[in-house]
Amino acid sequence: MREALRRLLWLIPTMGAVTVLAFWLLARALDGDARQSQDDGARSDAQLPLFVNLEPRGVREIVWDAAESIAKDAEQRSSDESTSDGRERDELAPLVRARADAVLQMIGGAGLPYLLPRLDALSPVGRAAVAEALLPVAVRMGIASSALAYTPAEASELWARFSVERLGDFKPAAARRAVSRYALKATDLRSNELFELDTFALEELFRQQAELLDPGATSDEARDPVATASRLMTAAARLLGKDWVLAPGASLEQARELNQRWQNHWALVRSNFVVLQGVERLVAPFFQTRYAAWARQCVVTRFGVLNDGQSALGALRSRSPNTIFLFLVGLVGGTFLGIVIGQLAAASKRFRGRRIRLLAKSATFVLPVLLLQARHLQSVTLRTVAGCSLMLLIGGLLVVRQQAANREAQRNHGWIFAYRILGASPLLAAWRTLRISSNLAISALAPQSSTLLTCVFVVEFAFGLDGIGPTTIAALKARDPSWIILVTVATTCLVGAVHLASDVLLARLDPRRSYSLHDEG
Amino acid sequence: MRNLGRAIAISVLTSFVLAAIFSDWLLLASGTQDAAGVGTSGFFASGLAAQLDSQNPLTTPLAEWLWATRQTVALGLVTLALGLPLGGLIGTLAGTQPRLFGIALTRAVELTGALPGLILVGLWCVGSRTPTLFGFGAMLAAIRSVGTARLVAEHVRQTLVQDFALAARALGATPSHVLSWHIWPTLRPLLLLEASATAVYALGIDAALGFVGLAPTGLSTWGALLDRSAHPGAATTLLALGCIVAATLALNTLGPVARWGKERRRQARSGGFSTLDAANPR
Repeated sequence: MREALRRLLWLIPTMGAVTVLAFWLLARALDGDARQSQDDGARSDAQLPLFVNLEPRGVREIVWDAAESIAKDAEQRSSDESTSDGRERDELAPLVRARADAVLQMIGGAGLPYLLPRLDALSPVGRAAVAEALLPVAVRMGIASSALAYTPAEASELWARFSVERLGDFKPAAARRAVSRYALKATDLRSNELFELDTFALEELFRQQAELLDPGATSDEARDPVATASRLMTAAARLLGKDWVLAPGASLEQARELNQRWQNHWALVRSNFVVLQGVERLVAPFFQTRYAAWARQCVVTRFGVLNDGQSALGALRSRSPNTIFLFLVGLVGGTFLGIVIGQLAAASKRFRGRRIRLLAKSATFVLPVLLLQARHLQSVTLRTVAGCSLMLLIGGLLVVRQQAANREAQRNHGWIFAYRILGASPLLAAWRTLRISSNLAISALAPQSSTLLTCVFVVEFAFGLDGIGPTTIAALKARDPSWIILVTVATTCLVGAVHLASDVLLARLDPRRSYSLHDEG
Repeated sequence: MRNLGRAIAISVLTSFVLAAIFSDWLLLASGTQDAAGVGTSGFFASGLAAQLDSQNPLTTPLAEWLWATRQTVALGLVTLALGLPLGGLIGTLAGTQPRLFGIALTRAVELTGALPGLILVGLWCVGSRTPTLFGFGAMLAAIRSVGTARLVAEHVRQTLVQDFALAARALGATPSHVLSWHIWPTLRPLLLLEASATAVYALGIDAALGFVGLAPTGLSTWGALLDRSAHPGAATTLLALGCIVAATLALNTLGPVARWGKERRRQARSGGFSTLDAANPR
């Protein structure tokens, strides 16, 4: 029992380590992959460290870095124009500037409480450039008519005035009040109140949206949840530049589905809009990594969907029975076959040694030829039977030599000699030693599991069987991390289960083992 | 009969190694202009190769095979050269320091055992933009060395409590002296067996990867020749398959022979009983 518990407890860190290892190997392939950074807003995951981020950044750090980039670029331009010495500017400078502009505009109101008070630390040129870059945010907030209507100096003045008059409203309580009022009824006044806070209100907006559409929440008869959610989603869509809004006449289920999509998106981009403090700052070095981003995405999307549109978990559920069946045929059937042949080989002089090797060598010839010719089998039943036979053969081959060797070793024991002297036939002696000589084969069950799984995947691929193998191979080619890591977690659990079963079987076969474990304490 | 089997196995392996060493000369002699096997003039191309692959006159299976043999032999050697010393070292450390390295080794065994080799190496293959033969071999060696280390650790633990090792310690020998003079020499038979198993493992994983179409890009081993989408010619596939089977059989024949041969010679010298006898598959 203690051994089983120990194994079960070690399974969790092993699973973690397996996913880390698989993710590290895959991340090398995904480095240049644009898929990673589709919806991640200010920072793409590809730019984050893999497992530990020594410089975690919240909204405060992100907006200030962007502002400094803009200011530096503006100062550089200004000095170039004044000196005109013909020095070539860095080719990447416009790209860096454009990116910084985009970051400021995307983060918007959420960054203002941390950026505006520090603007004075910048040079006048830099300050004006940052103020100008923030003009699209001002238009979105409704405090400016058009971004083109302001000179840099006027923009600077606009934000200075805003800082004095309105920045005090950027408080969580104000955001909560504005969102609640807007959720009840979207009048012009309430809309203005909400959109003046811009993205600062997003945290509260998504919190209320989740509460509203929570299936376990008590329904407020005075409020129509779908209409309220529709208003909140429309506001979120405007603030984040998405078109994820509810169609007129949408049902509650549709609202919940869309809310799930919004919540998933918010989970991915939230760290760009909130300041890191308290526990969040403590765990940020591990949470602001590509691994954590992937894990978060896996949790919220339940490992995502495959290329054929099927959910990964659903695909695993539907395909794993075939794979587990083949695996068990190889493991249990093959071990049983190997033990029987090994015992017989050791018991019979005619069948001993050389013939076993001959059998193994013949199988070595047969296996690859069968695999190559597998595609020519038309019937699914025939292919399944052939696949099972092959797994049985492989499983048997892995065990038979160990079993024969172990049985040979048992032959030299005194009590076997005594049996033989008393007239026991070789077959009876083989039967008597079956239990003790099977120890080695049983203890090798778990170490052979990964080899057998590889064989199962190859056999499924060769015979075109609908199992995990072909999907995994396709996922490896497509570099799909979700499916691969889902499969690695599943195989870890499977191998852990085999370890447990092997321990239990060994304890049953050889009670001395459990006694010795008990004595050792 | 047994000696005949060994002789054939040695001949097969030697011929592969010789083909790998002299592949440049053979490629030149066959008139092939580059490693991809383009060009058909020359002695080998017009003879054996043309007969093997008459449907596709632009490729010479012999040239492809020679190049693949060279890469496969190199892959095997890299895997052995890295895997065996690494496994031996980790195993010795785990055997002598079970509290520290032994526990780490147990976890490493669980970790590598939990992941099918195909996925682990396949991940490396898709993750490497420019996979090299050395990197591929190093990956295989790293995985395989865990298994080797486990066997070596067990052997070291068993040998350290044998009379001769205890006597040496009692006479004042340092642990490093006991290791280098009394433990490591007894490891040789085990490492010889592991060498053949490691080479077979490298061949098997390479073949599996090639068969499912995950062979490392740019490498042309026997396994890569099994990838039918890249090598549609039946002759090339069959040639590669034959070589994989032949090499596997030869290694499986020679591995145990080498181990038990060493062990028997040691027994003959010492006149003692060997604990390794328990697992002798004679």
